[in-house]
Amino acid sequence: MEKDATTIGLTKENHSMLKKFDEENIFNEMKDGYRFAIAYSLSKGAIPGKVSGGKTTIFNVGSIDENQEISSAILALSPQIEVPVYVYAERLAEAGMTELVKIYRQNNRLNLSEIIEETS
Amino acid sequence: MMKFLKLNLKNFMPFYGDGHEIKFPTDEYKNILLVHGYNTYGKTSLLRSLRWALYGHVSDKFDREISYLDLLNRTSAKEGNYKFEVVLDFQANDSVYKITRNVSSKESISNPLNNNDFMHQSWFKKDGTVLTDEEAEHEINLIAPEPVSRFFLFDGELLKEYEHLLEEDSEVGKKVKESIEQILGVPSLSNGRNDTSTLSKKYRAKQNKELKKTNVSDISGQIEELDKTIEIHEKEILDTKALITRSQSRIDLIAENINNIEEKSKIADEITEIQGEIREIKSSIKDLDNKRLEATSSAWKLLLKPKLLKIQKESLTNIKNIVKQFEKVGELNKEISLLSNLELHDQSCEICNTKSPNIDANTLVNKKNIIQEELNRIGISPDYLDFSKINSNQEIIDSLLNSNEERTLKSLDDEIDNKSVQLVKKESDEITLRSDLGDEATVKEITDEYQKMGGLKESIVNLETNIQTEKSSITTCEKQIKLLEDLIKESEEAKDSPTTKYVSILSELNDIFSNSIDRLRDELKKEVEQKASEAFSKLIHRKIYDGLKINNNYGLQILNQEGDEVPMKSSGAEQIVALSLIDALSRTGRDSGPVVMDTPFGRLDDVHREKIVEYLPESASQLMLFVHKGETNDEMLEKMASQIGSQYKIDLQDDEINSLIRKMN
Repeated sequence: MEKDATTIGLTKENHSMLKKFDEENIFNEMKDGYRFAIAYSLSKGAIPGKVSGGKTTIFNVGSIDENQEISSAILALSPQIEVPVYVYAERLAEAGMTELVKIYRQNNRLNLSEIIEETS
Repeated sequence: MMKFLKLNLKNFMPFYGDGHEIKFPTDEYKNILLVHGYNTYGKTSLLRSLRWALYGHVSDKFDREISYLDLLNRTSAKEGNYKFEVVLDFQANDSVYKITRNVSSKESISNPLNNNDFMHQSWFKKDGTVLTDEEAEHEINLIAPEPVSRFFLFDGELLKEYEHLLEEDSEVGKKVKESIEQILGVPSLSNGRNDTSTLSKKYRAKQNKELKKTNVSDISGQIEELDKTIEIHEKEILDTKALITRSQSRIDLIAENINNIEEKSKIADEITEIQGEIREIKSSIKDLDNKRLEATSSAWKLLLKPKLLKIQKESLTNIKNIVKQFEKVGELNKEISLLSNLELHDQSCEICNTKSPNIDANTLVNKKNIIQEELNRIGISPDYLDFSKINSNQEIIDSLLNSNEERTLKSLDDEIDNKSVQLVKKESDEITLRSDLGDEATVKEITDEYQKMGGLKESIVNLETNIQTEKSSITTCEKQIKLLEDLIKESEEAKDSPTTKYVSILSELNDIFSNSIDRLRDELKKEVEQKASEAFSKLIHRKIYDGLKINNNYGLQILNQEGDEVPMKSSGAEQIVALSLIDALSRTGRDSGPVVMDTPFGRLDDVHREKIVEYLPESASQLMLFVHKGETNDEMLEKMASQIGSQYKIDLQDDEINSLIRKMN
């Protein structure tokens, strides 16, 4: 198995959208948006592959997952992953952000309560 | 005796369309007409339609003539129909009259903006014959002269004006006094005095020319000089009066402006209040936004909740299964252990040491093998590693699920939505109020306006003093002229001249008019006082009063049985006194006729309301009462029932904007 990531990020486009979400106060911090994107992918049962194209490093894994809650959640929900957990987390974040951006563009807003309600 | 017969309105004020008709009661004993209507539905417009029919113009509460555009129904105007009409049928002095008045936009005008853009037409028929304008005016002056109309076509507001008669030096009081004297005929005598004075001057000038070469030419010259001096004083008086009128107009404007500013000030207060509310809502939204932002930190956990709950459930089942397996393995191991013991201890019971002769060694081995096979099938060694792993996973899931942020985030969003709706509403209210407000009014503006008004009032007082000074100068001149005229009259050269005789006669006539003015005023006051006292004694509930006493301003004071003045403490009493005066003036200025009262009972108690409806139908040929719900009650209506000739109700039309007149059964 490959070595686990110590930093994680997004593609350039999704990174700029995450910044936009932060600026529009959709999330308290970019980290919250990043975690939400990971969780969105997990909730949808996505099995993301390797991200093609370049990526922008945004966080140290330590800052995004201080209490290992993210990694625990990933391992709990996707125990069969074949790549290290943070490599997988990055893939989940990318896939999740792509979907959230779609919702945002469709509705001109991103309502977290509605998204949560929709998944429950 | 005048009686209204029928009134028809078309597109007049709130009465959109045609078919708005009132038939007035003509029965002598059932001569009350009641028109019920909420405030703003059109009672005052109905009163105005009668005034407009009779006189062709109508004023607002500030005595400003109401324009045709304001008399025209707004819906009709919006539809491009600029025609309105009022038709009034009435009888008087054994004749039947019909006045038809209509106003429409001039043919060349598609969007009339002022009275010049309209055409006013009227037909005044007497017994079916159309009269000329002059004849029509003459008839109206005989039947219902316009100055008297304020006493028989009046609204409740008028009573307040009459209450001002009781205040010394009240501006409103002065106006009402002028109006009263107008109808009591005093101006006729004043005009007579002025006319004889003018003629005297004319003949004195002629006399002066005739006496130029006589030995009284000096005296005549002195009279001429005095006449010139009088002219200067009179001009000064006229100029001063014009100044007073201008000042008074400015005071009226300022009063209206103050009224507007005060209205605006109220709006400004409302805006300030709304702004406070808007600030509060915005601050509350900001707080909620902050809380919502904080709540977004754990929003990701909420997304996973359904899946985590599922795993949690599965995990619990797994734990239970493992525990069961542990238990089963334990049991089986125990059995194997027992069987092994039996082999080791000569097939004796381990516990009681009794031999078991029937147990075959092969059977024991077979049994042990079966148990061992089952243990192998279960395939779990009594290892706690897996269990510990599952248990640890369970703790993580529990911790992830241990969040109540979902409710908070949702409720915060809902609350923010609610507050945002409130904010939009308040902001819209503010915009509406701001457009009503126009330029913002300030307390300073009001103070400035009051100061201006105070200054103008002071200058009016000074100007009036100047007029008195000028008048006394004129009187002095006139006395001197009289003395000089006597000298001329006695002179041989002038005494037989027709001009001298004219001058003498005109001088005597002038004296007669001058002396008669005060006498007529006093006599009319006595008549008004007597009639008002009669009305008052019938209108007032308590019989402890002797009557009313009139003052110089036509204000009335209540007298007790000892003849002493009684201070009026209640506004209800003031209203009764004002009504008594109006009734007296109405009967002093014309024959008995109809009385129309809009919102007449404002501050009266039930007892006095009943007194009025008992008295006025006797005093007037017809009594028309335009009342709102708060002014009448069932008991009162029941008592009036035998005198009510007809009842109407003003309702809103389906559009909820315009009004209609409905006859009640």
